[in-house]
Amino acid sequence: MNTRIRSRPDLLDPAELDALGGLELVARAVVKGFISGLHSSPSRGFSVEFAEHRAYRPGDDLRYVDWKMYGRSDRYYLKQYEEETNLAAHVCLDISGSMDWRSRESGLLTKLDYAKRVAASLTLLLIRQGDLAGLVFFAEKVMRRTPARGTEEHWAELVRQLAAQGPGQLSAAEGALDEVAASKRKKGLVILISDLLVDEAATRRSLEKLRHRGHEVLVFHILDPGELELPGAGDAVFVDPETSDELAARSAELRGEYREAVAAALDEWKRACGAQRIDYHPISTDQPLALCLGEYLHTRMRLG
Amino acid sequence: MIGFLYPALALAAIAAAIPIILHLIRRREVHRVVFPAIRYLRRAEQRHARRLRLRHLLLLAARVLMIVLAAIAAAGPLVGRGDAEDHRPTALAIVIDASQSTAQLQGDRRLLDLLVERALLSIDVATSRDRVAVFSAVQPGDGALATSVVGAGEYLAGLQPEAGIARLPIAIRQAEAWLGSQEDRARELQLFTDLQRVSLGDDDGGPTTERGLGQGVPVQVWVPDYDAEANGAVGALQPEVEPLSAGQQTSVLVPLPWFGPEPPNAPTVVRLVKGEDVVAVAEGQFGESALPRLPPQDSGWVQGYAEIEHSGLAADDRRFFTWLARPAVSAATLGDPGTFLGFALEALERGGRLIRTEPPDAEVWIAIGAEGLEEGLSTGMSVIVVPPSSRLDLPLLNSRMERARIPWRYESAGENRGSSRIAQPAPIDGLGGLEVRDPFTLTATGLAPNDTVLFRLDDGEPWLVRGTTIEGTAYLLLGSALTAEASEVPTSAAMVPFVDALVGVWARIGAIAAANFEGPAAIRTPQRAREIVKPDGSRAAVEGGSWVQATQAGNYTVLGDDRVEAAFSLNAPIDEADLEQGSETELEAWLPEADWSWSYGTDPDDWRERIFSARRGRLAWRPFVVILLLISFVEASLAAAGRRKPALPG
Repeated sequence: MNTRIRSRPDLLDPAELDALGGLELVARAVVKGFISGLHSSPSRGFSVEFAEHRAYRPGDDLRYVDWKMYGRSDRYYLKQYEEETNLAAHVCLDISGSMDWRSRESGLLTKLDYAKRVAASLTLLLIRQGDLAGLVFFAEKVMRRTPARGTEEHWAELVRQLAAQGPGQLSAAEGALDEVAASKRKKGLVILISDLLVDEAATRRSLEKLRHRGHEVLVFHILDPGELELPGAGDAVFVDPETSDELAARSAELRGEYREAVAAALDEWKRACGAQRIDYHPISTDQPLALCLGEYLHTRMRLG
Repeated sequence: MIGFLYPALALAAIAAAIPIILHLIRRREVHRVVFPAIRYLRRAEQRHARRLRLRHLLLLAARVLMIVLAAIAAAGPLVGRGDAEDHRPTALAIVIDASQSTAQLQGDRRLLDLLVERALLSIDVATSRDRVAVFSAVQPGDGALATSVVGAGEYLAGLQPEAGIARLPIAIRQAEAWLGSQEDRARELQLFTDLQRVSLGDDDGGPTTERGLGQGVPVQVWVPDYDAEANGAVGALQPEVEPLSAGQQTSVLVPLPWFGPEPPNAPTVVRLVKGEDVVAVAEGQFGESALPRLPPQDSGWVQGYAEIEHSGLAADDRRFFTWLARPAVSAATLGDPGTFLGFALEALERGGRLIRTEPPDAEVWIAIGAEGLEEGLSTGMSVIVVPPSSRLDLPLLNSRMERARIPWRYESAGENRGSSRIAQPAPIDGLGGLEVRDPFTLTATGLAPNDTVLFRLDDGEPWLVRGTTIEGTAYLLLGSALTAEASEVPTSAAMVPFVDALVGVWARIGAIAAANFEGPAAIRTPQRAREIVKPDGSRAAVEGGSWVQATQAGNYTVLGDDRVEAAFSLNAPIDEADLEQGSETELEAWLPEADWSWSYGTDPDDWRERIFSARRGRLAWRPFVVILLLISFVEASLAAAGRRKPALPG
């Protein structure tokens, strides 16, 4: 392990990182390492107290365009303010049976364990930034829901819930998302962490609904490396852990077609999310947790 | 068409079921894998299910095909039409024509040599799995003369022209019948002949209308390519008087038949040769006869040949003869012989064939009305009983015969019997068909096992009976008086030869032994025969009373311990000298439903290509192995196509 890695636990292999201790310790180490890696504070956004101008970029809210500067310079500038308000973020965590799976016993976390670490790290980062963080566990229905708060104690409670939460059975993300949409009138951030082995159409409709209600949405699509590349070579009967559906196939002969099918599915998610301005990030469970934090931060900065 | 050298190995193709079974088993022996992203797998499977199934089917087909090809290659595939040796087990009937006409020369070789050479080509390519039977066209009645490949080859190699006419229809019928019994093999009939027209008929007058004869049987005919010549020959020799009288000169009628458009104008020289000596010479015109005079001969067998200058076929330029020359018979008449018998005896005496003497000095008694019968027989005389013309004298006649212990009696049918005729054929020219009026009936009264009926009437009643007494003395019983009222015999030209034979032959030696045969004949040897000398000078031991088959033209001598027991000559029938060729259709008419094929060429390869039509094809396992290898590459490629290298995620 080189020096940089040693000082940045967020960049460690997730399975290696697990040796640090429990979920809380891992999350703290990840967030600490992540924050230390940032060159400047991320807490610059849109606030009441003016800070500076910056050039307009496509996608920026026109409400913040400085029209006087436009009159003087004939260019668009946005007024930036010092951070002022707390953001309420709800992490929706998929705990269905398909999440409790890994393609090999050593060197990999299950998708659920990986997702828990992502959730713990994100909520800690949110709270450290002064935002509020809540947590929704869902499988075939919402299994547990914790309101968003901004204290370290609250985060400790979230971590305990994450550690204690076992896998469920089926996936029904649309239910969890609809429930969040219905309960939160104030615009906030909804983070969906799931392998997206769900009713795709219904889930997309729910995501769209969230966007219509003004929520920002961030989707982490958790993938095991063994799902990206079909394992094995011979004939096998593949069994769905959620539905027990079976499919007999020869891996060697289907590998190419499978790879294309996965790529098509990811592309479809990316396209559908992009259409709704939803940040969509496929993450493999062998990738460092810092990636998720980085994606979140990017989204958070856009939100201001 | 495809056959197999080792058909049993083709059963290995059953192993083609192995990949099918494995295919089915493997589909059941898969392990179970928990896999959440099964929806992507299902999409992939659905997207390419057709290609997957097609690959599976192609793989299965390739593997099945590989096993089938391996089995076929191992079984020895026989493709197309093979060489003559590559035929299915065949029953081959060979009909060979060795008639006298096949002695014609084609260049410096006889036609028979060409026929045999061609037939041996067939024998050479016959295998141990074939059955071969050879039929002689000259002696078709003998059936199959050789019934193995080796035996057929040996028979053909030793074959010589025979003194006979070919009977091709009979021979091919024999061969067809033999083929009909060979149901477990392919069948083929091969015929080797000079296609002489006289050989195209049978004894029954023409082709039958029987259906189905030779149906589907391939008949390969080979005929040497030659031109039939006009031909002059020597016909059957006929001495002026026969049997010859020892010490008497006689003329011999030598017919000179001509077979061709026009006979030559110049006469031909005819020589009579006895041993190595020319004993008579005459000239004659073809189409007519010559009449050489045979010098006086000693008693005994006279053998030789008549020869003309070469004309056409050499074999019939010479005709062999065997005659028996006997000394004059001393005969006595007891009773009144009557006018006609008296004249006949006088004529014979004048001709030197008879010596009339007193009864004690005579060898033969002519007993009119059986006078002196008992005395004659008791003293060892041969007695000829001539019945009286009146039936009123029959009681006396029968009384004398009874006393002489002759187991026959004469009976009269009265006025009711009417006339009869002497049955045909009769051994004396002109005798058959002559009328006999109110003949007596000769009735056996006891056992007469050694008595024979020499002549019968056309109503079946005996007319001339020859018997012997217990002591071995011969007697002849004539069925009617030798008067003009009793029959036409006394007034006919046959009277003198008849009396000559009666006194000179039948009364002494029983019957005129046939000594000149036309065509191959089975000859029964005399009881004391020990050896036979054949025309080529070779000798063969024989048993007395056995049958000897004579086929070669020439003179034969049968020897006993210390003397010549018998002799005979064999010549081909004169019709055999007609060399005109027949047509294919004439012969095909005898087996109209057979599959005829004719060949006249000399090219042996052409003949090998024609024969053994049930070919199995050429052994061709290599192409199957090559295809097998190609398919194995295809199979490997198909199998490898399903094993793509894994790619890194992302």
